[in-house]
Amino acid sequence: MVAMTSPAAGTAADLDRDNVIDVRNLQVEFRTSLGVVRAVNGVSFGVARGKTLGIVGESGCGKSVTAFAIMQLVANPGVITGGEIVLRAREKAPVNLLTYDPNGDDMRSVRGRHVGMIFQEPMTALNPCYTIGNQIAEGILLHRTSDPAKADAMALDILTRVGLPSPSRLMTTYPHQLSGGMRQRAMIALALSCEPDLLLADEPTTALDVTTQAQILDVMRELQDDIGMSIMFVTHNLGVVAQMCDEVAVMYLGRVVEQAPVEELFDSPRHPYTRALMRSIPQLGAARKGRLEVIQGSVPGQFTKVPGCAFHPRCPDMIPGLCDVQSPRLLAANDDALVSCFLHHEPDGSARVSDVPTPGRVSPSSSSAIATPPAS
Amino acid sequence: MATAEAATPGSAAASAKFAEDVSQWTLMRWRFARNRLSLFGLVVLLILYFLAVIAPFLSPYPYNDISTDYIHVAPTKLHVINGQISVCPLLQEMRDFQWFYEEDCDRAVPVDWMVKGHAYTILGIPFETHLFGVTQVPPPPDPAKLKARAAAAAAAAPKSDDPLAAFKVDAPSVASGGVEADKLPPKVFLFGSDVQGRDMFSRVMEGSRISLTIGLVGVALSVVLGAILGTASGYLGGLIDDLVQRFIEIIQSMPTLPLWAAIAAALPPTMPVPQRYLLITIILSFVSWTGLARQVRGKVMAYANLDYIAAARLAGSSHMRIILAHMLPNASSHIIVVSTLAVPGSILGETALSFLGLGMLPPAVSWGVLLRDAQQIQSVILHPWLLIPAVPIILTVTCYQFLGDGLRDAADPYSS
Amino acid sequence: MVTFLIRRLLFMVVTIVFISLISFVLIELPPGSALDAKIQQFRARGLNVTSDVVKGLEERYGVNDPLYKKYWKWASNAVVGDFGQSFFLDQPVNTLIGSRIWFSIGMSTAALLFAWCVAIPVGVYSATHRNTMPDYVITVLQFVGVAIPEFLLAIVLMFIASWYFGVEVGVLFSREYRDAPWSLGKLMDLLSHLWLPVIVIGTHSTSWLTRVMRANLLDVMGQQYVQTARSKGLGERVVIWKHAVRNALHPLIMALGGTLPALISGEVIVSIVLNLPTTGPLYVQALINKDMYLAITFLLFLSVLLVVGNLLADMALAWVDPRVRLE
Ligand SMILES: Nc1ncnc2c1ncn2[C@@H]1O[C@H](COP(=O)(O)OP(=O)(O)OP(=O)(O)O)[C@@H](O)[C@H]1O
Ligand SMILES: [Mg+2]
Repeated sequence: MVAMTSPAAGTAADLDRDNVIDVRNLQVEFRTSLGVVRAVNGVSFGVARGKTLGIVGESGCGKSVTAFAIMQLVANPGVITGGEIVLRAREKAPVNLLTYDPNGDDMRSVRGRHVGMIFQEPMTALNPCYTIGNQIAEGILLHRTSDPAKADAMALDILTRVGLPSPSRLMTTYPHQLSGGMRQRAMIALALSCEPDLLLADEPTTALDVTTQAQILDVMRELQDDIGMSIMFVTHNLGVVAQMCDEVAVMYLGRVVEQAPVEELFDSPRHPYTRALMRSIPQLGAARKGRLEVIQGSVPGQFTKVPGCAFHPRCPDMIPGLCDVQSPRLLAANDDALVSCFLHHEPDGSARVSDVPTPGRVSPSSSSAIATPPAS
Repeated sequence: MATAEAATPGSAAASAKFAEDVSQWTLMRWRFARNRLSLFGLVVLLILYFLAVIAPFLSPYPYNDISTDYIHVAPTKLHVINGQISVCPLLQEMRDFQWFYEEDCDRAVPVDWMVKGHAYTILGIPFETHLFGVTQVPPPPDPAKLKARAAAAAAAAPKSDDPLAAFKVDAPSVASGGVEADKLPPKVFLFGSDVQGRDMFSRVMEGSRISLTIGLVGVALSVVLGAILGTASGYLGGLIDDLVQRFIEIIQSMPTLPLWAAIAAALPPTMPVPQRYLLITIILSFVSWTGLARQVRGKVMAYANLDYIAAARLAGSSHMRIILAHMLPNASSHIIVVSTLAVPGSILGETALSFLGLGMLPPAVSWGVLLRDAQQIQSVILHPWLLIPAVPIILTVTCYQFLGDGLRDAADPYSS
Repeated sequence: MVTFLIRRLLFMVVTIVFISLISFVLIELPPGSALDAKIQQFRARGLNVTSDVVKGLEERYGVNDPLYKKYWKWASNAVVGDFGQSFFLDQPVNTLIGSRIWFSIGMSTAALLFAWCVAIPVGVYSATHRNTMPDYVITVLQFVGVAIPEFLLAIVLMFIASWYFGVEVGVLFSREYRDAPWSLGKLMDLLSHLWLPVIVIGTHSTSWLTRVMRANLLDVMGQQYVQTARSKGLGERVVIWKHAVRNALHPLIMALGGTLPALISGEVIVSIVLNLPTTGPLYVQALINKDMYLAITFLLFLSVLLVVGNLLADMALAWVDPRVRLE
């Protein structure tokens, strides 16, 4: 049912270190009536213990689906068709989560207890029919204590720690009476109430204004140090990545194309897609009249299967005869960075010596290939 | 910003909307075609309406043709004799004040196709041909056989301690097809016959004409009423909106059937059939327009805030033009869906009213009128075929629901 | 909450006054009156009813008064609980309606409970087993359940009940309890006779509510908070029943406003078929006989039932969904 390892996949485990979770060659399909969507197509990455991994990528590249797959909560008609998700939680032997039955007790004891999750939309993530206190205590009662009074005390404690005003009143408040920022804090409290080893944060601040966003990020960082958990932080916002994350994995069309420490990624992006992504963020102090660059072309339709490297149709540095035929693997670029690109690796996996564009350098050919936005 | 909108000429807005409209309808058709249940509903309904149009062609007898020789005859059995579909003449006999029939298959005659029978018109064109019928007169019943039957009946008769015994044994003369019937071709009753010996099949066919249309006409009326009042209410707002809404609320807080019954009871029972038909449709639409008006109002209020309406208004279009050219076409898919979903209620309403004796009345025939004969449980136990008119009712209403559901999903795939 | 209640009660009063006006006009408007029928009856029996007597009677009952005068006369008495006299049955309307309206209320309520108790689990099952064989069967049954006329179902079930189970139909009590005072035995006896009409009355609403429940649950199951509940590690059963169903109840209660008229209509017609001593048979009889005070009062009471039911539904909504505020 689940392919344990795929020989084709170089993985984040190649970086020799202590990871809370290792995702290897994860594959998720949506079998819709219109065709099969390969939403996640061989994703590999690892999250170091106590650190934060940012996941960035265009809309629809499979970030949320990856997060849900770790929880084994991929919505119908999605199915996990392959890969491996190894969880190394405290107080628990390392285990490949995909060997658990998605509806079984084993998997349920992982959810909430070892892996917590926060969603993009604070407005809809809390059940409108129950009080905040009830919803937080529910998880605590499941994993930590069976005494309702104790559970309430713990819920109150975590509500205090996420910095919500008058937490005791909040216990009996319904979600619709809170603002978006407060709801997101409540959601964080809910996800952290059982002190998980790993927090999956799926764009937790996208729907919030900048000030609230900063506060929420502060709270998350504080609690991360308190609890000693790791965070997988999905976001579109590279600024947030720079603030929050220790490492970044860049996804494109259901694959990780590059994983590297934050500074390295920002200073010297390796993958052409990452580079294009970097160029598309507005730079403070950059010339006002210069136009923001847009990545050439657009994402192929969700049902189409691109041969070779998924990015090659849009890639300025595409090597004809190679990139459009073979898929590159995610391989170590140095001690703590991985990249999946034939500009960096030969098809046999050995590092490419010649012809590597200097990281960060914008080659004349690539700059001309990147389209400017059409005049509005 | 306002200048930019004002600068958009009404025609440009309209043509843009037209393009959007076309794709919307195409999309609707495409989504609808994928829904097998509603396609099934549509096909069955088309067949039913077609059958209603050609009802007299399919009916072997006039629907009101009374025949005392065939009271409460069970559905006729069709036999295949000599490779032909045939029917057997009946021998009848009265026991316990109840007619009993027995087939006499020695005298079987074949069913004929395309026979000449009573005259009728379809869409104004006169015809005399009927799909099937029996034209051959069988030989008279064998007297020996009749005698044997009479003897058997006498033997089976209870002894004379029953004071009614004399009535329970039949005179031998009755143990035939009936005095008249012996000289005529036997009748085919596909659905049996009723208490006056009328052919239920012909009656169900004839009844479909009223039952299938009365709900439709009723809903058509309420669509007109609902669309006008709903649009006015939603578009004009203010006091008119308030008044219409309160009125709707009051009508909706009256129980449907008792209300219908109260209005229908006001109709004099002697009214001619077409007039009664018309008034019943009006009664049915008296309640159902309210739901429609609400839906249309909601849509209109939503549309009123759209840019192209604002543009048209700024460009100086009249209220009437805005409503007719912009809002109603946009709400039309919605109106179609809601009205399709309202038809079952109207059909069932007519059926219930007629069943209570407050809707269509004999000599008019509708499925509800036919089911009135099934009101007595004793009668149903003895003559279960009296329940047959229920089958087309259930079929029709179910298919309308399939259709309406499919249309709704097609028009608005995200509504629940 | 209190202001809400007061406002709603005021609106109820206005509604009821309007309903009484409408029904008065509806029932009074057609020519002919119960008095004519009565006089015919007397004449048929060979009694000599002179025109003087007719005039006297007409005056006494105010037959030829203008409409508003009649309405005022009736309404001012109705306010103090006197709904007039039935022309046809020669009894005060109050006596005639008294116990019958309670049976009607009881039966409609029982049918409502039946509908909910069946519709919720079946709808949940159907939604959680979407696109399986049982789901298809349930879906088709729902459509047929809405399509089958109540009186037909009544006839068929009555047929089955009397034929296969030997149940006495058309009565609410067995002979030994008919005139007995209320007791547990009598209640049980009532229940044993009640199941058939209750099922018949409730079938339509059950089918409808099942459909609403299924659609809403499917809707709710796609909501983020259901995933939140799962991500806490809750079992699927808790996720569905505690988190999803609770939210799906909201539209179900809203649908109550639509099912109540159907329930009451169903109750009327089923009682006629089964000949139960509730409002239905007497109402239709009153309509046919143009026994106007009786008919109006019935219509009015049935409407009040509906209005009160809607009020209760709104209050239930506020109870189930904390977002709804009664103001
Ligand atoms: N329920 C579903 N049915 C069919 N396809 C789906 C479903 N959910 C997700 N997908 C597909 O999976 C792909 C990845 O979706 P996902 O939600 O993971 O994107 P994302 O990277 O989180 O995007 P965003 O930044 O917009 O949240 C999408 O392209 C979509 O086509
Ligand atoms: Mg996402």
